[in-house]
Amino acid sequence: MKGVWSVHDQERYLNYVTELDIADVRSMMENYGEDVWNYAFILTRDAHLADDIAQETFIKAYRRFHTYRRESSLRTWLLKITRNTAFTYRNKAFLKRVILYDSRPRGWADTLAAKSAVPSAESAVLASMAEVELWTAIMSLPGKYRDPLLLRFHYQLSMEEIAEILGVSEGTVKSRIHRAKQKAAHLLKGRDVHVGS
Amino acid sequence: MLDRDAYWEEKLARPPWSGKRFTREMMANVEQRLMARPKMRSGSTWMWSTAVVVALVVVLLLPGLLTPREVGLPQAPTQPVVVAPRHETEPEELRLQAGDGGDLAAWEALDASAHRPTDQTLIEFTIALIRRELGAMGGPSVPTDRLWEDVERKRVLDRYEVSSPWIQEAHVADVEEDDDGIDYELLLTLTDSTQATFQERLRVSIVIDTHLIREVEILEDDTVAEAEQPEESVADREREPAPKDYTIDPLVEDAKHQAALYPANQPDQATFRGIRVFWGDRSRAFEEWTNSAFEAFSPQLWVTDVTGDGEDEIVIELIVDHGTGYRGSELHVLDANLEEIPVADPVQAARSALEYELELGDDGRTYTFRVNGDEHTVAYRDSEAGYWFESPYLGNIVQYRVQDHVVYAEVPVQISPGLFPIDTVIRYDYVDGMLAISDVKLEE
Repeated sequence: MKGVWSVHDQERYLNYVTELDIADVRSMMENYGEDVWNYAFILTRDAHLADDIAQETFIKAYRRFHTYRRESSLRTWLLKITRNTAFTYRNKAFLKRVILYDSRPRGWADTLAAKSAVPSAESAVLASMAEVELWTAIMSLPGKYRDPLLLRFHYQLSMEEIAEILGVSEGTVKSRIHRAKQKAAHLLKGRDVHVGS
Repeated sequence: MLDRDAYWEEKLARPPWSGKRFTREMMANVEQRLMARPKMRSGSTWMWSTAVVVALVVVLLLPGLLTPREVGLPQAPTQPVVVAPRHETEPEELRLQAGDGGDLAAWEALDASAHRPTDQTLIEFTIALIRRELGAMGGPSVPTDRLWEDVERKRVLDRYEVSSPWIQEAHVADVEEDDDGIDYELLLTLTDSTQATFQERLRVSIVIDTHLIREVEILEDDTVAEAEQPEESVADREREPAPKDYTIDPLVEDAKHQAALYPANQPDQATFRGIRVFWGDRSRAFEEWTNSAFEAFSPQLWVTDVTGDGEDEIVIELIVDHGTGYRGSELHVLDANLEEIPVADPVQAARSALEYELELGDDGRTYTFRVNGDEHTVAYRDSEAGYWFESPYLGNIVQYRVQDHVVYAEVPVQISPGLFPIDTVIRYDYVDGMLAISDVKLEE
């Protein structure tokens, strides 16, 4: 059985294979699971959907590995799949939130803890974020700004890679990041500030 | 401070969470699903469906010498076809013909330079189409822009470059040549995010003199699922012979036993409503059955003798709903005639059997669970969960497995949204025409 590859070793190894096995996917999930989940949450702001999208992303990666062209990093490719998957969920209006207490099997209205009040999964997730104020401000930005800003500064992707993921030009990426910083700064400071690039 | 990239790099590069969000449970679920369901279009899938198609064609064609068109069989190829070099018969120039093509690998395997120039254009176009590299959404120019007379014409293809659907295969369905151009008809096999498969046709018109694409037209949007399921009554659809030519991928299959589940309809709200069971030469649609359309939540299928009568049954677990900390599943067991065998409710049994004690301390809590004499004690600090149920809950997650001809249900005991300290395991035995619960025990 293979162990978990380091990110570097996995990228090198995957240049030589055309199909993945379960151990490859396991290693991929170890290395990129958090990146994928976080991006799914960044895109959807929904922890339940992020759970599903992240799992779906790795299943798609396994099944469509032959489409990975090695022109981008494995992480960039996975983030692209994540984005496609998230948008597919949105496009299909699959917003049926399966919330724990509201979705018990039929006829179980008398179950234990039935009426317990708990914070929503989303607010609980946001509250557990480090730098709560900063991330709350970022997550309140419109997606078109939030997405490139975090791909740039959280995932530290190049402008070219972000353009590839978003399917827009590098110029558009730059201007959106600039606007995102302005808007986030405004939210954080409560006033307009000059934001350089 | 906020005007410097360094500020954002420093703040946003850190992990946003203190703990992990992509959990071991999710990883295990992905692995389990990958192991339970081989890649689509795997050898076994194709071997089985191809064998069925070939057998049907032989049976139908031989007696009356009917053509495929006359017997109503699909004329488009249903599996990738790699065009083999034909240097022996056509040493100077190869020509694409109806039936050529396949998936991306098949197109990339073509020797474009050995084909006539318009074919070369089509090959380059199709590879870029499958790879989503035509730049049909606009933006910066791409290498294939040089293939077009008017590059703006490519925008009609933008639907193939959004998130879904994905082109899995492209086959040449027809080639028509006139004085100044060649019309290539491409049959595309697409999948959407729920893995529903459907087909569309493109007409690509290429000018003979310049080898440039003059126009591309999307001819139709014909869903396979609709084609396979014309307007029939439930009664009509109840029983049918084994699949003729199912180009929809199975939700799950056991190739060894020739058993498979297929969606009976296109997904609705990310759920397949109506499942068709195939087993050997038998088939039956269960209109009331549902399963999540997400691949990560495909159904499970076992073929084994669970009644002890010496004949196999099909045991099916459907995932009807899912979410964080929730997995709604249903068990169905079918006999050799595809008749359903009643199954007892495992959650009810687990709830009846489970006893517990909860001891609250200053900063912690201790649970003692008992089932039929088994006892298990577990202690937690209050800080280990943000919220604790007032009392343990059973039923949010139910999983089934079959082991040594015995069906088991696992119903975890849940004490907080994310904590499942122990499972109740329910054993089924066949008694008086139904699968009844014969034992409940605790299992760590």
